[in-house]
Amino acid sequence: MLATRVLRLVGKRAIATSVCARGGHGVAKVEDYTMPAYFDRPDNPLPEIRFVQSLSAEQQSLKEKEKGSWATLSNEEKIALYRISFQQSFAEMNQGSAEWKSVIGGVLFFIGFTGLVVLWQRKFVYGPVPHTFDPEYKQKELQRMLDMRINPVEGFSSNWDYENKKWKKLQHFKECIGFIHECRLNGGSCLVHWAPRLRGVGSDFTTIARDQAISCKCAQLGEKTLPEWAGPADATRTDWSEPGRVVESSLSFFIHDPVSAINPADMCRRRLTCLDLTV
Amino acid sequence: MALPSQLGFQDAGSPLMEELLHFHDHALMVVFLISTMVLYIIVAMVTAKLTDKLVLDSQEIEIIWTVLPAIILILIALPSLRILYLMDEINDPHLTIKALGHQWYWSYEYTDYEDLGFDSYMIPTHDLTPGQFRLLEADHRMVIPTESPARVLISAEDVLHSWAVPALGIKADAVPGRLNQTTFIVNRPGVFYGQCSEICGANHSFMPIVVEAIPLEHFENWTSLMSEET
Repeated sequence: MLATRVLRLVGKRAIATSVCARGGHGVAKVEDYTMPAYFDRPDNPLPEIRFVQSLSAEQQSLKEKEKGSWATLSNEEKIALYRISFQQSFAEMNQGSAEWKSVIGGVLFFIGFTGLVVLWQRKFVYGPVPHTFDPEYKQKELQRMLDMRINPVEGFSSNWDYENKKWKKLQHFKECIGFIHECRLNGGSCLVHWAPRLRGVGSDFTTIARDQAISCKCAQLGEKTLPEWAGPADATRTDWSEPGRVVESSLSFFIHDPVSAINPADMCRRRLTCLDLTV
Repeated sequence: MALPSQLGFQDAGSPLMEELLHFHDHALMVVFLISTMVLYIIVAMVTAKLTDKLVLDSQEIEIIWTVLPAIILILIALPSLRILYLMDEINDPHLTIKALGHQWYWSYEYTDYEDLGFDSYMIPTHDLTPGQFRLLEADHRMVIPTESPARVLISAEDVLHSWAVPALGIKADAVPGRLNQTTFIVNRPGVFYGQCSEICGANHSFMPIVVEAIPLEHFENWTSLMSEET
């Protein structure tokens, strides 16, 4: 009889919880997920079983009272009943934690540490940068890029005012508005592409352009002749030219003639022709 | 040339590169639209408080998110194929140049002119004159006339190289024992820089390509000068 009771107990335990015997080290309790279990999930509001399985005497009497009219229950009793069935309220299970502060702190810490490593590397590991990074050299490079008309359409050289020798503010404001006006007067239309890289564009231009509801892509390339070679000495001037007189002669056409090969108005109209929107 | 830390393309120097620029704008706009939409959906899903556990399927949205991407892909493919075929159009080059890759320099042969050929080595940093661009300048530039269709036949004498000039939209591998052809027209006079685009050994980063486009009459001057020199 004792043996059957023991067997029944073992049987019960076998069903209720699995017992895992690991080679001589003892047993580990493993959950049996086929049995009803309690959980707090916002998307699954009703758990399979009550939270408190074995009720105390007080809780049992409360449960009996619950079978009557609920109007007789006080607030504390209702809360006690809730806590018998559920471990956490919705507010408690949905609340966030302060973990994010630790995460941000850790991330910033390691970023800072990386910064220290980089600073150390710059001081103790890397050699000096090439002489081409010296400010004077960069200045000459810049001037040369402008003289060579590097990226003259929408890029680097397009932002330089060759006439007034400074960076442009409002790019081709008058020309664009004039062109737009001309198009409209003749009853045609004009596609305008707004270049985002304009410097210091005033709001008036924006308003005007928007009111006109058109966009104008004017590829203005060095309208006038090259500026005087002020600054670079003759020695530097020959640096611009290659060994040989060819480039000097080809550059001379830049210097002395208007840039006839790149007529800005033609360029502008040519683009618009492609889009079938010329006036 | 490209500015330091430049992200976008250089200004186009040839009509093909203009086409590529516009196509890139178009495709990138599509990419941005899709990415913005996906990012919005992700944020909406993550910040949603409620979950619908009973969603099983939906034929309507499945149709939409199959057909709409197909349409978008077609709208990307059509301009792309157009440019692809544009590149291979029959044209009649006025000039043929051979660009041969060596370790570690380029040599250019203008066989249309008798015996015009020269090597193009990078100018070392310590030999630069003030204002020249580091790692980009070469002692001899490949000179071509503007507004003239030019054909470049690219090959290599030893290992793989690649002849690339981004501003003109050109890149072609230089394969030993093989001739690759690329044709282009340069719109505007100027100097266009490129760098070897196939790993070829220790000085792969130090064999730049410099193309100089000048008007035709000046080009003729140059060819006579160079023929005299070589």
